[in-house]
Amino acid sequence: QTRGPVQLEADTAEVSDADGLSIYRGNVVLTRDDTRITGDVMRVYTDSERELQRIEVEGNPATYRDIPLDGGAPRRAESPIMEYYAANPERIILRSGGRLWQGDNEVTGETITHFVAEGRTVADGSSAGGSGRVNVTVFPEQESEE
Amino acid sequence: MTRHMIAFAALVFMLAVTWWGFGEREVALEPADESTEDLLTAYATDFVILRTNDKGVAEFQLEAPIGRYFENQDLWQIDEPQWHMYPEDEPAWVGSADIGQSWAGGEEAELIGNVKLTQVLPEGTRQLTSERFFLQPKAQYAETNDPVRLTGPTYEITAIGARAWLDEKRTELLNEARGQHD
Repeated sequence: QTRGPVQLEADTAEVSDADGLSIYRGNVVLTRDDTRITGDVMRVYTDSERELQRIEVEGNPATYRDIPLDGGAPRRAESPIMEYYAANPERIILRSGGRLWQGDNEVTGETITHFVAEGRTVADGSSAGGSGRVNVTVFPEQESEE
Repeated sequence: MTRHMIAFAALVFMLAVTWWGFGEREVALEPADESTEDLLTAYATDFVILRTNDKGVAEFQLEAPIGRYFENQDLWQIDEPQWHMYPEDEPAWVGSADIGQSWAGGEEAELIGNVKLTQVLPEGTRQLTSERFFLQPKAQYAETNDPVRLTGPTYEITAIGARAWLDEKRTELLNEARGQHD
């Protein structure tokens, strides 16, 4: 599924073409189709071909939301630091203790990686100073009353 | 020595010391006509000014169909200026505008109307556009308080107000930044 361009809104921006880096500051909102990320600062990194590579997000907290292709409940996440990879594959990494939830199902952990297209999530508890635990809460789908 | 002659001599001397220097092609300066005497000191038509460094390497070139000099304000006003800025070891910055004004011996300039600053790089073209830019050509610095658009190889950002350090390839967009990255 072809994804649209990444669009950002912020109070200010700074572009360094020498480094292939753009920094957005102040009430930063990133949107890409149904994906929406917010934060205080977003650093947009490009590769040597100046293709969009990844976006580092800092916030208090930074927030993420997307709507699954199957139209299910929105997936939401928050963490102090996020990394959003635009492709190969598209994914969001929550760092420094994050939480990702969809409806009542929830995952918390030091580092959480969510693969957008697959809807797959990998949580990792190990990190210096982290609680070292991963918590997953999944509610079985309600049986439909016959 | 009539007033015209004095004004003309002063202007030629003034041009010789300004940073824009003398171009390879002699700038044909004609004294102003009677009607705008107290304001317009002289004007030049179809002129090219080329500034080189002490090694003779081009640093800046300006060409325009007409330029007017107002001695009492030390102000040059130039219609449809086109200019090239040649940073060291880098592709040139090419600029154009409807009107350019320059003072302080060419150290400062203001560009008004359809202002474009373009640099073609190996990885793609960079361009700054706005309706007005204040420029310090020698410092390769440009700033505006107007709406501005910065486009690069894979992005486009609009904002209100910008400061650009052309030689450092660095631009600050000051308010309401809206960016698109492909």
